[in-house]
Amino acid sequence: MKLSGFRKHMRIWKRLIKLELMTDMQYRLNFLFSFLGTSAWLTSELLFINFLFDKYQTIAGWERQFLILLVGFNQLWVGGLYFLIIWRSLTHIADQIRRGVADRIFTLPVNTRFFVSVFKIDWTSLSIMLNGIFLIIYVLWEYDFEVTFLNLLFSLVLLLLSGWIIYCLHFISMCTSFWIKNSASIMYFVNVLDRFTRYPYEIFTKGVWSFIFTFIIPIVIIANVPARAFLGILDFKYVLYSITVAVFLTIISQVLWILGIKRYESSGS
Amino acid sequence: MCQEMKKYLLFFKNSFEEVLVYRANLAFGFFLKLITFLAFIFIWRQIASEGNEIEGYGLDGIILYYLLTQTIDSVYSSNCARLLREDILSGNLSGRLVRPFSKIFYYFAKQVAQVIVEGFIHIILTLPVLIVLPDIFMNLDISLSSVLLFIISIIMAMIFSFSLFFSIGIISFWTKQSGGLQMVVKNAARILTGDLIPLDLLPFTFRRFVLFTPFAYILYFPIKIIMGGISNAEIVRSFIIVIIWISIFNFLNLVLWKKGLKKYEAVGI
Repeated sequence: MKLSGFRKHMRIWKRLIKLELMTDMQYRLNFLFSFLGTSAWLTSELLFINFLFDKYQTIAGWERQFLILLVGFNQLWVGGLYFLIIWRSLTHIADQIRRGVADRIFTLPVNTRFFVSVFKIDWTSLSIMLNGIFLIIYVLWEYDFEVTFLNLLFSLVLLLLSGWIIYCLHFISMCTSFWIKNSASIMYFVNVLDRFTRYPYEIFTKGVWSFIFTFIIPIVIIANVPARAFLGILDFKYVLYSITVAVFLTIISQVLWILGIKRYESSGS
Repeated sequence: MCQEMKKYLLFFKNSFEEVLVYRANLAFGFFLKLITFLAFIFIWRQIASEGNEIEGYGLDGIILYYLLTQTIDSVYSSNCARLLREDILSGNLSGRLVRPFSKIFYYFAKQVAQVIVEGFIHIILTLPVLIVLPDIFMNLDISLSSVLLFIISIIMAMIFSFSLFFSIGIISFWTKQSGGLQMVVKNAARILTGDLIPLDLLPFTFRRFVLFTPFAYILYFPIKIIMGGISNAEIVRSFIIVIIWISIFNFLNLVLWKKGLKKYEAVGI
C-alpha cells in the first residue's frame, strides 16, 4: 500500500470511528450499562482470584499480584483490540456473507480486508481496556513492581503482536463462513482463549500441552508474554515463538480470505 | 383450555425445529465451552498437585462440578430478552400484539425450546467425558429422589431465568436497547450462580448473602442436589426462595408490560 493509499484508509477509518461513536451514543443509558457490565465482569473475576489466594498462597509459584497483572494485560487485548475493533466488524461481515449480501462491501474501492476488519467500532468495549489499564496501574502502585522504560516499550510491542495473533485467529474463524455459512460458534473460539490467557502459562505447559498451547492454540503467548516482558522476566524464546505464530497465522488468514472470496455466493443483485 | 395449550405447543414445536436447524453450530459452541472447562481442570489440577486440599470436593469432585455447570448452563438463557428487544426495535411486536395469544407464554415457549435442544446437545457431548474420566462420576448421588429433585430445580431455574430476562427485555420499551443491562446481570451472575467457583468455597458472609439472591439456585443448587451433601430442609428452603423470586419478577413483568405497551412506538406501521 502506497503512503497516499494508507492516508486515505486512515481518513476513512477516522470517519467510521466517529459514525460508530454517534450510533453508540444514541443509546446513552445502554452505553452506561455496558460500562457497568464490564465492571461487573471484572469484579467477578477479581473476587474469584481473591478467593483462590485466600485459600492457596501461590498457584504455579505465582502470587496474587501477578494474576491481577495478567488479568490487566488480558483486558488490554480483549477490550482494546478484540471487542473494540474487530469483534463487531468481523461478526457483521460473517453475517453478510451468510446471507449473501456482502457484494457492496466487496466492490468498494478500498482494501477489503482492512475495511471488513475495522469498519464497526464497538465503543461500549472501551471500558474493558480502561479496566485493564486501571488494573496494571493498581498492581504497580500496590506491589512496588519496578518497570523500566525499555521493558514497557518491549511489552507494548509484544502486546501488539499478541493483538495481531488474536486478530488473525478471529479472521480465520470468520473466513469459515464462506464455506459453512453459519460460523457463529466457530467465531466464539477467541472467547475460549480468553479464559486461558488470564493464568500463568506454567499451569498449561506440561508435556505435550506445551506445544499445543504455544503453537496450535497459542494461549501461552497472548497475555503472559507481554506481562512478563513488562516485569522484565520474559524467557526470550517466547518472543521467537510469538513471531513464528504471527507470521504463520498471517499467511493462513490471507490464503483463506482469497480462497473464500472466490467461493462467495451472492443472494441477488 | 386444551385448544389454548395447543397454540403454545405449536410455538414450542416451531421454535424447537428452528433451533435444531443450527444444531451443528450449537454442538460446536458447546465443544468450545468444553475447552473452557479444560481451563478449570488445569487450574484445579495445579492447585491439587501443589499439595493443597480442595475442601469438600477433592480434585474429582471439583472437576465434576465444573463439568455440570457447563452441561446445565443453558437453563440460564437470556434469549427471551434478545428476542423481545429485537421485536420492539424492529416493530415486529405489532404483528404479535394483534393475534390472540399470550405474549409472555409465546416468548416462554420459544425459550423452553431453546433450553431443551441446547440441554440435550450438552448432555450428548458430555458423554465422552464419562469414558475419559469415569472416576469423577463417582461423586454423583444418583437416586430416584435426587434425580427428581434435580429436574424440579432445573425447571425452576429455567422459569426464574425467563422471568428475570423478560423483565430486562421489557425495559427496551423505554430504552430501545437493553443489551447493556443484560450484560450487567449476566456478568455479575458469574460469581453469584457458582459458575466461577462453587459457592461453598466462598467466605461464609459472602455465601450467606448469595444464598438470599435467586442466582444461587440457578446452577449451584441443582448441581449440589445431584452431587449430594444438601439436606432436605435446605432443598425445601431453596425452592421457596426461588418461588418467591419468580412471583416477584412475574408481577413486575405484568406491570411493566402494561406500562411498556403504552410507550411502544410500533415502528414500521
